[in-house]
Amino acid sequence: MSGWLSDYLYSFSYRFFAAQSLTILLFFFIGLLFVFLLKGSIREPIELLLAYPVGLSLYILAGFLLLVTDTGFKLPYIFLVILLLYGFTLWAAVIARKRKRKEGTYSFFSLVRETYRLPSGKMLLLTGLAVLAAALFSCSGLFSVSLSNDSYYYFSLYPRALVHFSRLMHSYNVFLTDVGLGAALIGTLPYFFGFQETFGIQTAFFINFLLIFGCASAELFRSGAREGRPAQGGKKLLPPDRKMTGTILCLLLLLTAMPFVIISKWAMANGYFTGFMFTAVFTAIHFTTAVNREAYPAENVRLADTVLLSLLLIALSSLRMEGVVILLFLLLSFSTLPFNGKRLALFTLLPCIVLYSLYYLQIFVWLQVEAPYTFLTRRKAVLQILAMAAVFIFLNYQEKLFKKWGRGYVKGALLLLFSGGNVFLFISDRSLYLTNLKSFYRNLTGQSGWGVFPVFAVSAFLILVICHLKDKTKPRFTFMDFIVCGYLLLTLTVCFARGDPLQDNVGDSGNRVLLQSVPLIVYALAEHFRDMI
Amino acid sequence: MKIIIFGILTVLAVVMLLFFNRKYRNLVFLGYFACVIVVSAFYNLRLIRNIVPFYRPFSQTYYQPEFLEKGEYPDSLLPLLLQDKIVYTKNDPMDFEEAMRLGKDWHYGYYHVNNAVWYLELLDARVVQEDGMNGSMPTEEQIRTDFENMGPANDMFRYTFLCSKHFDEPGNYFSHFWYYSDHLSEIDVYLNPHADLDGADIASSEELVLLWDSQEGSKEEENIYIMTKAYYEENVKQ
Repeated sequence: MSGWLSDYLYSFSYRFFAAQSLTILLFFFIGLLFVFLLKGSIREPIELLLAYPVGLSLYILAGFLLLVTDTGFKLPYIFLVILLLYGFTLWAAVIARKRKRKEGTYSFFSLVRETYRLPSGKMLLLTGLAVLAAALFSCSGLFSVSLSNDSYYYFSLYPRALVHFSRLMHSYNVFLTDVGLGAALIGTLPYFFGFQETFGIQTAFFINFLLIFGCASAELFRSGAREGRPAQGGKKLLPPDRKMTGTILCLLLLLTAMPFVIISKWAMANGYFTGFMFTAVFTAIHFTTAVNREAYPAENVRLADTVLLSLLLIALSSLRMEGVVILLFLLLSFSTLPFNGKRLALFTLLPCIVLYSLYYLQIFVWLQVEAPYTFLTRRKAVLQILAMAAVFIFLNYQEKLFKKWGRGYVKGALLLLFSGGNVFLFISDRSLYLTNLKSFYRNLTGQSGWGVFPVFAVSAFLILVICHLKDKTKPRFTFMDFIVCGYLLLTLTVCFARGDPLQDNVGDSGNRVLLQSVPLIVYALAEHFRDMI
Repeated sequence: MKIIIFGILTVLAVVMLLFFNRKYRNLVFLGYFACVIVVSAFYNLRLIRNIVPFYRPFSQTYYQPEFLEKGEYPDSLLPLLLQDKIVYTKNDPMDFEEAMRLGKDWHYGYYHVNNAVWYLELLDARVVQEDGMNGSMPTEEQIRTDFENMGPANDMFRYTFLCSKHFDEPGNYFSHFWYYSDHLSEIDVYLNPHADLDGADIASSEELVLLWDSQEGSKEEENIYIMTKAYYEENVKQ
């Protein structure tokens, strides 16, 4: 039997291998084209590295829109939506260019020629070959994957149903309320493009993510200036060898961290969520660093960069059911950076409010999904929409509030809110809260996928404290520190909102949500060690 | 053990940072992080496979050759086998009242035949239900010599709620979960991988037959058996 089975399985290998590799290449170029249409040129490495996540984000956004509007989830329609997004972006860019010109008559094509600078054919060819090589490598099977029940039923069978029925159905039942639609949409790629699983798609995503993390580390170790504030000893450029060493150490630290190994290989939504979350946070820091460097004389992050970030954030919010909560936290965090709040609200929250309102209407009103227990309930859905609306209003008025109180108060207010929220939850159900805390502790210290990472984090923290004591300096509370603290406090809240107590095992959803924070923690620690150099 | 190792590393690093000149700080950090990376990698190599299972997907399919030994996820093989093929099945539905009269759970009346057929349709198989197949079953001898047990199908049927056409309670996740995971004992998927008299097997043949046990009385567990139509005509047909 095993001989027959082996021969049978391998009879599909070449076809599926080729199809999945070419799909990765396709989505890289779909994303690259969108980045190009937004930004007018491809100049920085980060623009190339964002192409693949952006390509997946466009697919998720198109699929989400088609499903919640019940238009028909079919491949031609997905490409049509993406084409419309391209068209709209092109039109907006040309209009913006026209407004900058003096009055006169300009043809559309002359404005396009002025707006866009095509990358060289050689660069495109080399990039394409590199991406193809990475795609072939990702799909080769050399990288191991971890599979579980949820991997198959939530992210393979459910996507199959989405493609088969082309719409949301009442029969999907708790999958509509418990499974992130974005992650399920990524799982539909095999059924449209002629292969069977998304292991290569995920591996390529993580290879790309590691390059983004490497880019983030390289930027971190380039100089001592972050967020416009000087590092220890004043602003300085680190020697190239230290920059290289710092970058390599960061990458190796992440690569050998057991939580990252597990989350990157496990065929679940958590892997994508981890990658998208860090990418969004780093992208926000990167874009605001460009503003702070005054290389681009503007008060706020460029519109094109805001739109790019918004696309990543919308995709992030759809990957898991608590994604909207994390999105709101990140948006409020980004409001402390030089982003135009109205643009963030317009390009991130407005689409989310529309999409999620339609999604919740579909689930609870049109499809009338009823089940004894669901993660997302009617009450939570309404609260999420109201929360999005509240943050939308805040972002539109943030400039007036910041003029009065300054940006920094938002960080303090958020941490106070989350801490207070946790105290409130503790008081409201002491037993559940303590059970969850104990589960977290047992997961961190046991065999739940954390390895030596928690002990390393404590050790690194102690070393930093000693360094500061010796130097008689005060440690900075960086933006990434704030993100990590906020995320950890929010995780406790989100897990409490689940209702059931957490379990002591690697597969527990609360444990997996915590595993998602590891790249952020590694970056935050690296930032502090960089300050000590 | 990890606490001891990191305790020693931390103490060493702290001592060196406190007593060495600041210009050696970078070297201390480098040594510290190099040790962390090595310890972490070693820890992963030793323990990670005990925490989660890993597979190398050389076959490019969801179903991994390792699943056969443990009888895991047999249903992940079925899409490959059944997609776009003509699959003949029995047509012996039973309403819930008759099911209860026979001593079966009322869910049987809703799930018997329906879940299997809807699941096949979800896999894009072209299902043909034939009354003439009712009552047909491979013999125990045939099952023993010609069929391979691929493993439990309880999870496969538990998730057929995704394609259920029942509204309300019979169609929801929790009813399926209770019925297939708590109420029924193990039900298995059997495949006949051998070539039939026409020289085709379930991989190459375009026409397959899927049968389920014909359970008398109160018994509800129904294994499923997949074979080529030619094998069915030659060996099983009554």
